[in-house]
Amino acid sequence: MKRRTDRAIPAADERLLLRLLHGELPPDETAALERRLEGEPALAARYRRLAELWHGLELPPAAVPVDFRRDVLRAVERRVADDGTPAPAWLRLAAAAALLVGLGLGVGLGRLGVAAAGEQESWPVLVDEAPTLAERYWQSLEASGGRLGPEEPRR
Amino acid sequence: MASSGSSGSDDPDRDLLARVAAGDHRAFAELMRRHESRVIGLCSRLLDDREAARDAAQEVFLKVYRKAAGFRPRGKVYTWLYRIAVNHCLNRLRRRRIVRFLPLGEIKDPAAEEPAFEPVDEGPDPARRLAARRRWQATRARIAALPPGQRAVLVLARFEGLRYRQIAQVLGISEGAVESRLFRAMRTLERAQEVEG
Repeated sequence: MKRRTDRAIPAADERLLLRLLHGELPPDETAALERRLEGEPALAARYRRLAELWHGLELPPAAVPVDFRRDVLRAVERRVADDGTPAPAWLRLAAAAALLVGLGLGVGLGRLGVAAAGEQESWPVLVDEAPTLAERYWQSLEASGGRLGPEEPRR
Repeated sequence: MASSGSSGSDDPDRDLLARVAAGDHRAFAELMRRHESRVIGLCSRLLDDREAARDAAQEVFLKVYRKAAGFRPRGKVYTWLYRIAVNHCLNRLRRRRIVRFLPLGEIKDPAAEEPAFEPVDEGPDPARRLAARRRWQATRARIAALPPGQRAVLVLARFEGLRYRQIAQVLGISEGAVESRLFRAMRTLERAQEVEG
């Protein structure tokens, strides 16, 4: 638990220690902090602890896999063959603009078509020509000479 | 350690990348030769899986090839390359986390997975080799326990030797955010070590 008590220094000081450890402090601040480290054992202990932790992080160098470069170059060639030569930026922009204009035109024309269809539905042309049931009744009544019911067979 | 500076006017990779953008495969091979070791190392340390790191590095270079024409000279080429690699690996890590939450399918035990690194031969002393393997194993386990954002900052600072400013450029965050993430990562590593005893 001794290590936990090492941490009981202000966070601002700990940040300074880390900057010192990482070589990020300007020379004047480095000198000032080093003077403090000589006079403050708790601060010095914390610095040693952080340094131990930092330098204790060890990893071996990663080796480049055999044929890595060759594999990447082949992958590039494959992809270039699949994709073809990429179009220049202006051409892609023009294509996108044309697509947007086309979409806009399509939507506009679609709306016009719907409006026209709507007009036809609200003003059906055939309604004047088609006799209603009542008209047909009166027409048949006139034809029968004013008699109601089915026409009597002529004798 | 990666060189500092962000002007990029003296960047030897700039011409190489311009040739790659023009479809020059030789230039691309040369760019790979210069950076493949770094990219594979970075992917290995972030993903902690050798095969996944190889696939990721391959994808990174394919992206570099495709995006070469779109490179804008705001910084060094290697910063741009690192950004592509880190973003690619972080996306993989996030997908991997989602997969771990899925109830269906066989979930791989991370401890049983193949190590990301082939331990190098440190000499004839088997005890030293064993001790080194144990340290690497412990480091891998601790780094793997960090959230992806902290892991990226730690790996770039500790193993790639990048300065806070360079890490900020690679990750697209502020230097203050880099410092905060490193601070939290160190706290997490320390707690893990205390738990291990």
